[in-house]
Amino acid sequence: MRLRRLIWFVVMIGIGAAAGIFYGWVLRPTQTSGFALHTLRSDYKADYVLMTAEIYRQDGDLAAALERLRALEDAPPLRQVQQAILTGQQLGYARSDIETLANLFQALQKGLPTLTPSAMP
Amino acid sequence: MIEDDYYEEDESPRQPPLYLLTGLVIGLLLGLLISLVIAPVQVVDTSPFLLAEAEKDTYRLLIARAFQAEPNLERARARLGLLRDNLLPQTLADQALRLQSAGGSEADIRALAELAAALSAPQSAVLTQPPGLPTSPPSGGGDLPGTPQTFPTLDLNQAVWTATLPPTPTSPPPTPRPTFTPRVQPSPLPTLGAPFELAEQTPVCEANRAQPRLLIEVQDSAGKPVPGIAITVAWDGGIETFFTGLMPSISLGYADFDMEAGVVYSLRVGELSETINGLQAPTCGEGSEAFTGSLRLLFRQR
Repeated sequence: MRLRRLIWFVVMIGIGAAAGIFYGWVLRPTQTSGFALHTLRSDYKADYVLMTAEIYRQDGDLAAALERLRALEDAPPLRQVQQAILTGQQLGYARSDIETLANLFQALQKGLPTLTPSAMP
Repeated sequence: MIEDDYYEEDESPRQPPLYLLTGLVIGLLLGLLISLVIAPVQVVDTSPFLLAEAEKDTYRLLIARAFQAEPNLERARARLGLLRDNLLPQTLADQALRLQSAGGSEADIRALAELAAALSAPQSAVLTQPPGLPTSPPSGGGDLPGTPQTFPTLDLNQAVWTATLPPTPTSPPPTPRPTFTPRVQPSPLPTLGAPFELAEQTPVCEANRAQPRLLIEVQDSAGKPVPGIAITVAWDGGIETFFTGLMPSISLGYADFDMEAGVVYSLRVGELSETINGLQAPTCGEGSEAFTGSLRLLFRQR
């Protein structure tokens, strides 16, 4: 009798847990819009970075470019541009677009002193 | 005796089986703890039209600034289409006015106004694209014939009231499917089977080159440049990783690295290759005309 009770007790815990997870993962997330930039799909992110690179190529304002990249997500700017180049290559971006991204990448490399070999003994 | 009484009482048809209810409540709390606290839903892979209004403003402004930098109306329109605004010029002009009243940057206001004016121009109306645009940007096809490229006016009222595009009915946005599956990140490095070996090492003595560099070219076994290969350079006190393919104007397999005179470097191409040790910037010339040159390394896949 005790064993049967124990089994049913465990079964009810399982049912309750399933219901709780279903509520939290399926029913509760009612948000259908109002998302942040960092939630964008990688190809949209790549296009965002490309726009930043296009603006940088025109105005040469590295600080503004960094600010725009930070607005996209918290990842290191160099990493973001590198990822955009790779995504662009996968998606078949025009060569000129890849060059625009590469131009920003190089500028960031020069502009971020911790990534240059100047900190050598 | 007491325990038997308890069971008997508990099993009587009039009394609800409290242990079942207790189990259900414990399970429910456990499930809520997991789904809301330990592993809550994380939304990923959304589209621009699902962004918050403030984020849409940021995105729209970026499009306008990019249009200002590279006046390609077709591309700007495709990008704006991702936001699925019904009245594009009006939205842009409204944002410009909002920015103006908030004391925003003049360059930003001008960019928004220019793009609004460009979209309001009669020549641009025939080029309207439906929502649901390509996920990759257009490949720089250039401007369309007859499309004005510069709009020096800052007359925001004009930008607001000259909108000629009729409101386009759009279907309600589909509900995004939240997922708790970890997002797959594309690997930054292509997986290549065979390692690379050093095929050539040549000093480059160009007196006009101010900074000595490691000039690296990575090729496959057929001699074709390979982009996206990680190159790790280490020296006493530092290490750096960079990738080929970031300077396609030189070569897809090219990468370079600034060297310092007198510093000894170790270098490895990819994950499986041997480490090349003892790399130093060469000394070119003699006597008073001596200078530090660069080093060119050619790696080829086995």
